[in-house]
Amino acid sequence: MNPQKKPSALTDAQFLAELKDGARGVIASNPDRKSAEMGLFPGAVVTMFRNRKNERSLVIGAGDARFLISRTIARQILVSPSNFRVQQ
Amino acid sequence: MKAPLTVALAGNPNTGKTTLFNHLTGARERTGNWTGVTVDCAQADFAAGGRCFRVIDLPGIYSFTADTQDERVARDYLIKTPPDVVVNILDASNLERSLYLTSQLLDMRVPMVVALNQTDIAEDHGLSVDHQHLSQHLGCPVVPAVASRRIGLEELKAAVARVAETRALPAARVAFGDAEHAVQRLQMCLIVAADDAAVDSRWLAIKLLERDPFARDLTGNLFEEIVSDETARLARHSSHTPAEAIMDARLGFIRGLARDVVKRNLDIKRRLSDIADRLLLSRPLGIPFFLLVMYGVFWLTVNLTQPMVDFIDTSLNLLLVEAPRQWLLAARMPEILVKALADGVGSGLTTVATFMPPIFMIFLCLSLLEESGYMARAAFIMDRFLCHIGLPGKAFIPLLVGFGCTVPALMATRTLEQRRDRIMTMLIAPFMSCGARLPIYAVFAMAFFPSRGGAMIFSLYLTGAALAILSGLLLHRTLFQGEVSSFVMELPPYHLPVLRGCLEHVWFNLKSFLFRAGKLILLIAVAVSMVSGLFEKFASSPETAAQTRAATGRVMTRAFRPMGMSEDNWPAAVGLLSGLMAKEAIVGTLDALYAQQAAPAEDPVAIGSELRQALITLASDYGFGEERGGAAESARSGLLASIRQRFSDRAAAYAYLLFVLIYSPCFAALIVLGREAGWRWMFFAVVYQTVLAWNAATVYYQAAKFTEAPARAVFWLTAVSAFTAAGIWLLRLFGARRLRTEHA
Repeated sequence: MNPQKKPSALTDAQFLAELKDGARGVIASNPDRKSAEMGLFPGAVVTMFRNRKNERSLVIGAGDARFLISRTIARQILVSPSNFRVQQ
Repeated sequence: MKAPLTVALAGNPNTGKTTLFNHLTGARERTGNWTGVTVDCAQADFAAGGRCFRVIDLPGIYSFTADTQDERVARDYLIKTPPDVVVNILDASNLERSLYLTSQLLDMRVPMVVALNQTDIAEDHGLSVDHQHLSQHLGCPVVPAVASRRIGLEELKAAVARVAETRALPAARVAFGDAEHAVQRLQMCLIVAADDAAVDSRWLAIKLLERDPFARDLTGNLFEEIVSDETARLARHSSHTPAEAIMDARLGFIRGLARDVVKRNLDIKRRLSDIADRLLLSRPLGIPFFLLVMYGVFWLTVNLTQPMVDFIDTSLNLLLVEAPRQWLLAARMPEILVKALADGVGSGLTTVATFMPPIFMIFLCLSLLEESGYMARAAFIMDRFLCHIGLPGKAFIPLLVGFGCTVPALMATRTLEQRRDRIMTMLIAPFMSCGARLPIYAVFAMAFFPSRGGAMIFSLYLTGAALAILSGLLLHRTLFQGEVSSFVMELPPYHLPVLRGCLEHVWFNLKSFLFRAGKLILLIAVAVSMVSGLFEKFASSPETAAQTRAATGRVMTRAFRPMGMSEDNWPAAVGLLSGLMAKEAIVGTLDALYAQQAAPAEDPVAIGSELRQALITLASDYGFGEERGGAAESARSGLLASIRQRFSDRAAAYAYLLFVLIYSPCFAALIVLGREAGWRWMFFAVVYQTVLAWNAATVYYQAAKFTEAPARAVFWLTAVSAFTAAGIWLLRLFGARRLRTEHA
């Protein structure tokens, strides 16, 4: 599992797998085409609903949909911080 | 009579597409598979404005990029056999994501009507979609609907009729920004080729620039050079490949569209589903709730159906086996015909019928779980544990059901999306000790373990489950190595399931079982009964038949010697053979053979009174009427004595039970396995399980007898270790080969 190098332009960006519960962001890049086509495309607003270290999958909201996403894929998706206030 | 106009339904999964299909057509559906693949295909008709419309429900997909079978099937249908109109079903509560597929449909240039479904859910989430505005943008009719409540159906039918008659294409077109010029230039070059292939030229140009293999095959690499030129040209202006530029433009299109037509209620209320998830996925509440639900599934599929299954077994046995046998014998029909019809056809039909209640129930449960949305959450909870053996969380359900009966468990693996997951689950599900084996365990418990019978039986169940897990680990590392299932799965909002939709789904799968597996089960039952009839016919007398049976049995015990079976216990070996037909037959066979009876009693059976008794039993099992008496107990004492006499000691008895636990499933399960996974996997299962059974029984017996005969024990234990090592090596070999051929 090679985490992608972050492009230097997106210094504030994190990987989706690193977002904490309740945090929000905007997807900056997603190399995994399948998940992109399901709704995790660049520009989509993501909310982290459940991210526990020992669990292999995460529960996220992307746009108006909700997803279970495995950590492997979440480690490839870059997210930049959004302008929205964090909503609980 | 004009030919029906074809209407294809295309949309994401979870958009209520199937509900819409059912309500549009009144669910008078012909279901089957798309040719060559195991993807469901549903077709049905409706009439509107004097014309007949044939609706095809395409598989739910997120895009036409054709990586999975579903996508390929949908794409092939639209390109090769274009329908008269496509109904694109959008989820109003998830518009932006839904529009991705729409943008691809716009490329395909097909007459289109958009059904904006689930507007009620959108409203719950504080969203509203301006469908008129959307219609203006897309240049095609947009009909708001709530399919589950039959709202909007008439308008949809009218729009479909209009568009189908006029063949009106949607006016909108996605402009591809940086790549637009490349698309246009390429389009010029391939107008003729597109015409030849009967596809839209712009679509072909887009696909070729995206490097779609399907498009390349269609044009036979003719345009490879031009595509490379355009790619290089684009690379000079921007740092994107054509595929990236096209994707960017597509996303821009749908984002702009969504922003324009979707109005949000700005205080984003927390959704009921999110709150529910907070609770149901949490550690303290999630697991107990999950266990409760799973217990419910198990109870419905196994406990509730058991009396019904018994009743069907008894009554059909009387009506289809005993009664015909008596009538045919009275009519002096030849023995072989009586055997074929009564023991073959009658018995086969009875067997198939006994599986229907549990199969009905398991699919009902699966359907309710999927429709309500809880299935995805259950999968998440179990995923944590099952991922260690390389299986997704959903695999838990077939494994659970396996404790009742292997046949519905194997059918239940249809809920898993990946074929590899399905096959692996089908290979380990039979280790969950099915209900049919319980009578054997019970009899042996009474014979050898009178005070600790319950614990002994529990230990067998535990061993079965442990072996399932170990097998899973083994298969994951050998035969199914290298495939990491990383996944993205949508969590649909919680939703009250519509019973009618569930029942239709159940009926589809029940029919599938009947026609795919049922026919074969019947065939095999007839074949076996004819063979046994011929055997008895050619034996010169009943005694010779019995002697041949005994002699064959004795030869068979040689293979079972290391697990403690002595030669004079040959009925136990023959019993294992009859266990291949049905596990519950083992006790009957032991009973008959120990008592040296060559054939079952030929006394005429009083069908009427037996039927009445069966009905009374059914009623009392469900709680009406008196409890049944334990009349069977006294009949058992002879059998118990025989078992104690023929099996040398407890160790041999337990070893035998281990073998019964692990070895090949009954033939009905094997046929279902063959139909669902393929015949090669079926043979693998038979060999794998039987060899494993023999190994386990031998290891147990030899270890138990170690102090008595250490040399022999060491010999056999070493032999088993060697077999196991060889087996693992073989599995790894085949696994590597399988990996190579799949990635070739």
